Amino acid sequence: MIDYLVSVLTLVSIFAILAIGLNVQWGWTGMLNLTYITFVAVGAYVSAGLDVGPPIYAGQQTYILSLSLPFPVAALGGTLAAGAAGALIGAIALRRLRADYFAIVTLSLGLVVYQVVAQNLGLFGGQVGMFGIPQPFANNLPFSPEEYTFFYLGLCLFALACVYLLARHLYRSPFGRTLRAIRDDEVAAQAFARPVFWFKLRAFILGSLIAGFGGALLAHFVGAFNPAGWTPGETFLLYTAIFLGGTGNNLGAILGVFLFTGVISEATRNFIPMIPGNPDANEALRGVVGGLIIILVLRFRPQGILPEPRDKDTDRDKDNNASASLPVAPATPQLT
Amino acid sequence: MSTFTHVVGFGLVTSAVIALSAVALSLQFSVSNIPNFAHGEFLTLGMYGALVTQRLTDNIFVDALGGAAVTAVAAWAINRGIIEPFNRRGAKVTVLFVITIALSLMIQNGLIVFFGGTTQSLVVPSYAVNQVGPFLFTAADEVVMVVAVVIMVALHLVLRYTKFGKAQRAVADSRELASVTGINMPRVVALTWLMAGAIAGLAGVVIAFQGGTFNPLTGYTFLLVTFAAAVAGGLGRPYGAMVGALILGLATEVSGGYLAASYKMVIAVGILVLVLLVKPSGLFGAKEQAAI
Repeated sequence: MIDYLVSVLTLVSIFAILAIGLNVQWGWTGMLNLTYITFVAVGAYVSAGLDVGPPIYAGQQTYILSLSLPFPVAALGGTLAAGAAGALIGAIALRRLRADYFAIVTLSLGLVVYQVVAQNLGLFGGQVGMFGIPQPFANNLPFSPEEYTFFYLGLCLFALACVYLLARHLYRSPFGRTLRAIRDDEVAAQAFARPVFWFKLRAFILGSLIAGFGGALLAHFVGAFNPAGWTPGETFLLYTAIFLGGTGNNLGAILGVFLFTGVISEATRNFIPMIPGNPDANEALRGVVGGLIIILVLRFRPQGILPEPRDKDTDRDKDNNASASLPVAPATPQLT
Repeated sequence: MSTFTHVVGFGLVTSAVIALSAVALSLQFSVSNIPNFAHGEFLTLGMYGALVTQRLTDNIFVDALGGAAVTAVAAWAINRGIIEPFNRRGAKVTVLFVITIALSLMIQNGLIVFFGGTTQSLVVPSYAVNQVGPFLFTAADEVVMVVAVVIMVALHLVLRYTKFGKAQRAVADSRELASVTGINMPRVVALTWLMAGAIAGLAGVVIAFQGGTFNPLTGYTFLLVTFAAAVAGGLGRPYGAMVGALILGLATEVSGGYLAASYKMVIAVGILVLVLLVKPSGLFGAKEQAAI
């Protein structure tokens, strides 16, 4: 039972990192990226490729890279690779398109990446994917396998804390404020001389970097990674978590992942009896519930459980001592 | 017979299938103004509708009508029960688009829960292969193409010559103008969902009929090809969608004759992305908001 809880909590903290990255793109900036999971996959594959070793015996599957680098370097490499992919895809997709067309373009480009990776065995193992991804620091630490799971949970929680603090800082910065201005009214933001494309592209890259970092943690937690793990459905389920927790709110994204990935998905997977003869039903139930949550939240509580804090007109540069000590959300009564 | 004529023959059949799907998407978009992400699941609903009908009768035409009817009712109900309430509250297009994504997730996984994720197939009569001009077609291929042509002509007649078709075109042109001229807009929109659902369901049956097997994900794999055809023809222009389908069907099958089959999809989405980035109004669209 403890093992199970530790593994669920590890997954929740990794997915919380992913949700924060997606929140930067969708929640802050209003970019409906339907292929977010592709950037997670780029981070996962590249980081794993950087720290797996070359094949030991003849006939073993080979991957490109296979450099046996230490985990921090590999994770950094995966993160940067995802950021580069984000720069490329963002630069293509972020042309003056309506939000829904933008979404379809991201989905299409993600599909191209998916096919290329899945069809080329020599790249990252094709459909079979990569396995034997080493456990970070395992050789340098005196932990038993059970103790190691706690260590990795700690590592992921620490990573989540770092990403959260970074996101919180950026959310309150002029950069984050500009992104929200663009989301709320792109024309107005443009009228105030904000280079909209450039801000959107940077937000897209920032989200991709966070996705790649989370992907590196995910691949090294599972120890294997293959195309079945990054179908478009995974992106939609991350959206479910964000809508549920509170669009735009970083704490909300974490709460949403905890409730949806940690509680609801695990419940449908493990605590609902299997339907005889239908092994896919429990996994599918997660999708049904995910879709239902999106519709119900948008219908009855569009702001999610934790609403986005409303900005006061305080400029931290101008009004340093006053607002620095204030909590994030001077709770304003919502009239609607 | 050369590879080229062979793949062109495939391309014509594929075009017919895509045309049915794309016309349904385009018609529904033109009148409701919502890009329907759950369109792929409409196709799948048609397949499963026909599968269930087949438990009652082996007549494939009755089964096809069953599939079309199930999807038509589902599309109408989705508009009535989910889309309309959001519309009444003035939801933005992006929100409605997200709703259709959620619906896609629910229908796709709902079908897995009810029918399992395994591959299904319709019992269809086996047909001989025969030569038509330079092409080799099975009788199934011919039926598919005839069905597609019949539906296109019927749709053209409805849009062009009936009062309802006129109302549809008016709503597609301008909702405000249509409303002030006394057109019962919610009714036109609702019936359009019903009609587009029926065509999409039929397209799904045709896919199952022609491809042999299907599973709860099959319709979804046609979503981007359908969007590509509809967008290439100018999204919201059913006639353009027919031409777009011809382009997509030929492009994917001809390239598939020379490249690995799995890259057909890449060709399709390549066309989609190119059109969206270079000429979002479609290859033939003169204006951004063009009429049917």
